[in-house]
Amino acid sequence: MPDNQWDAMLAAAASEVLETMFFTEVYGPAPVAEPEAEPRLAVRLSFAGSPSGALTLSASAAAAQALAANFLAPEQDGALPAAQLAAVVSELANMICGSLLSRVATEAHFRLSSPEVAPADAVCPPGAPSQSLDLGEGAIDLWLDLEPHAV
Amino acid sequence: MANIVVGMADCQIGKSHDQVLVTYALGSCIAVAIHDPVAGVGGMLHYMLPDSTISPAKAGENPYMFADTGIPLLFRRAYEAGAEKRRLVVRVAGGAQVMDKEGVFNIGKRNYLALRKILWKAGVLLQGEDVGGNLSRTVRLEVGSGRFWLRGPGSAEQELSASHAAPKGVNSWPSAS
Amino acid sequence: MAFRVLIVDDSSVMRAFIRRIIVVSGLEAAEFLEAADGREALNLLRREWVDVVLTDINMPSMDGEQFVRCLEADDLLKSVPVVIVSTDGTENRMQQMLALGARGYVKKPFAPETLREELERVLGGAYA
Repeated sequence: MPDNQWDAMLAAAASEVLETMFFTEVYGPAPVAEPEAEPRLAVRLSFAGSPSGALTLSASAAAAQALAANFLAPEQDGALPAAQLAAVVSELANMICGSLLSRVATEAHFRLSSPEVAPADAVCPPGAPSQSLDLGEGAIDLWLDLEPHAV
Repeated sequence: MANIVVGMADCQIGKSHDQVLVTYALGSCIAVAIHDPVAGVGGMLHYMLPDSTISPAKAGENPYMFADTGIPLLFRRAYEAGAEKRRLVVRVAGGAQVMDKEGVFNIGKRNYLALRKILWKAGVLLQGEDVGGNLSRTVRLEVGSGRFWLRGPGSAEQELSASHAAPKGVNSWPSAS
Repeated sequence: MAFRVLIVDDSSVMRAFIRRIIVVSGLEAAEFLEAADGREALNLLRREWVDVVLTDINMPSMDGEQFVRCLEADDLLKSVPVVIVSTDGTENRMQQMLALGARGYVKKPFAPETLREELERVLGGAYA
């Protein structure tokens, strides 16, 4: 499958998850961030099936807080603890990955690993299928690392 | 039946069984209709925009213009009239893309997402919705019976029953890609 | 009539999200039990009775598919209704899990009302 189709499916999967369970709209491509402009939270999960590979999601601190607040609807306003942010961003990545793979309908079932926290300075490899999304309150970057035999 | 008209950026509460709350020409705006069948209280809000932070001055003049200021007020006014949160039946309509069929501005969908975020935070689920598309809607809520009716241009009125039917939700608008 | 529900998902925040839906839906949940994978869920079910199980598929240690197979193989546990709540929205996975004995299926991402409706359907209206 050509990379631009992966890009489009990644965008569609992300929008579906963000809107349905995080009540968050994707405004468009995110502006290019200054290096180290703000702390980021990155998670990575691998998937096996047809295709196999890994999805990385990197969220700005502002995006992580806003997404977690929307999802968890805490009683008190204010910054949520780091562990909860990581758990929410992990689940976001898990659902985007699942939504993406569900669109690549094949006979074989796909398997997802549990997401793990990735280095905060993780960057998208050149040429990888990716999306950089402006959520209004912060931005998220998503990219795929597909194994070579992926169609 | 005594019609109480809910205008654009407006909110009305009804406490008599013969009252009907009605709002017209919902384009990208959203109507939130709530009803307590035990207290016999109904309320309807017709809001235009999702987020008052773009214009706090306007929200100060008219909180019903925005989802984040109007929706909490709708509920508060209903409670003051005797409604109880756990009994409320909540239905919504509108959020159409009437101005721009390409959906570039997407105010209808933004209004819907703002509503969903506010209701989730408040711990309120919907019992019915008719949102999206690109046609304007007129809706009415019978305070006595709690029945909620909607009508599009040139079409017959249909009831949106509180049937707990799973909403199409965000799939009510064309996808961005 | 109040019911006991077991939520099985390796994400603590997803378990919290599901729990919140049930609480605000007006359904009378008497007690929530939670497990992070199928193995933990099975151990729990050997000690506690529940009226319904909500389970993910992709989990470490024991996934949802294996968990449902184990329930169906147990004379006592096979009567507990199971609703799958999974990111796998493919038709063949859905058909497979229903054929294995699951009574309902909710694909992630889902609107809160969607989960409420599926739970009401599977519980048969006795707990609303």
